[in-house]
Amino acid sequence: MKKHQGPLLALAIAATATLACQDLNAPLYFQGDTFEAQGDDDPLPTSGLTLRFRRPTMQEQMQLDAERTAKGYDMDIPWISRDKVHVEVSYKVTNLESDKPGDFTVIVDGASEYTKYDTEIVSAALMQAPNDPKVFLPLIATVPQTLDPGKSFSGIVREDDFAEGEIDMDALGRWNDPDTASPTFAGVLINRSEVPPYIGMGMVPDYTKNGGTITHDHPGKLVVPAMYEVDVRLKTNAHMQIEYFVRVRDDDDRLLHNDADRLYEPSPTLFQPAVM
Amino acid sequence: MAAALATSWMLGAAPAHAQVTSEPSAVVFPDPTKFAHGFFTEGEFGVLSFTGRASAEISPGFAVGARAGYDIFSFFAVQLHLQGSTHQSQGDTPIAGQLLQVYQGTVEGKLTLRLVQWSFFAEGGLGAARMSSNLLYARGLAKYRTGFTYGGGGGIDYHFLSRHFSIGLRGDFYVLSDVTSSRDVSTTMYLRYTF
Repeated sequence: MKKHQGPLLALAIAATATLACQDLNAPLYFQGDTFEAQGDDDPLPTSGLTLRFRRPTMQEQMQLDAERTAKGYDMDIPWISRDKVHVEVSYKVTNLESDKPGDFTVIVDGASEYTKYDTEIVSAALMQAPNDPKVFLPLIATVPQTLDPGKSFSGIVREDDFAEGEIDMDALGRWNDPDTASPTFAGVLINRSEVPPYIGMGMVPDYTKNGGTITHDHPGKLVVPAMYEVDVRLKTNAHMQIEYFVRVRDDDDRLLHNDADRLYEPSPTLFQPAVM
Repeated sequence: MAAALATSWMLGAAPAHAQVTSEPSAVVFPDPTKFAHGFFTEGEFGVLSFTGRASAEISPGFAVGARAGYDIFSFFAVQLHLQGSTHQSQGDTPIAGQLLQVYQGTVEGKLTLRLVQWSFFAEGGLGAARMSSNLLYARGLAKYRTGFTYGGGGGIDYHFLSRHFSIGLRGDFYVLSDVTSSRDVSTTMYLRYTF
């Protein structure tokens, strides 16, 4: 081995160790309250978790204002934005029945800094008559699963599920299409926002509405607000329990860690569907 | 006559003797006093596992690290140790399978007993350990992501005939004071260069 290869090798290993040790963008975990459902509950049992963010500094606020000017659409740039704050939910559902299998779906609603979506409120608004069966149109829902007695199922509502839910919520809140000829809000929730025919996305800055046709010709123009409030519901026909954690990747350190920082307190507007 | 001439060299030749046809191989007796002494660096890799309560929550993981130090005497050195390891959460919990990195930085003292090319050493020190996320906090095992750590270990070192290089195997045991009833154990191989 040549004279200078030794320290270089040691340095290379040290550099590898240093790079491997970067904890940039490491997630943080927040435990939600565990709760139970008795089966066929009305309303659905729920537990919510509100993430606490710091207020932007004056310089950060100026950057948001400058970005708003640069974007050219007449809406604020969210401080808690989807490209900076990435949310995921890990859950475990356990069937507490001793002899009866059951089906379940995990429903996730919540709020961005502009809009709050509540499945129960929407469901109540959609009821035509008091005894009508409830129709649930959740912001995010997992695929229904069947659980044998005493068994558990663990799953994840992934970041890309939240990403879709977040743009849907913004489309319904800040960019709601009032055109009665336009498909209802259900179309926004049911269809993926990046897939033609982009139902209900006509007012969103990323899209252009031309008569009855919507095209996705400005992808990335909208800064989508992330969810800072996560509400988990358990819809089941058996006695079950759900435990969950909210996992957050906070790219720009916007979560509130420091007592010297001030809490950011948005006031989202509750989404209320027009009666269909 | 011709035949006599032709065979005369055979009859008159001197007796044949064995010849040395190659150089004798060098027999080396390494002199440890000729090994480099003073400032050194090490790079290491291996496995880090938890013991105690954290072992149920966090799987063993790959560890890489580096040391830099100085041999004050032939038998005693001081060294700075930085190590990072990556792990997965485990167990019957919704957050099983999540990644967690652990970074440790310690200042250590090291005692060495040298036997020609081999040496045996014991070391111990204290410093800080930091978790990349609050995973252990979320599981109720740690209040802070950064905490005090102390411990020690030992190992065996083999010095090459080169003046500067040696390799070795070590095991260390460190107490994680901020993680409830938990320690970590690392087993690593290293390459050392002494300047």
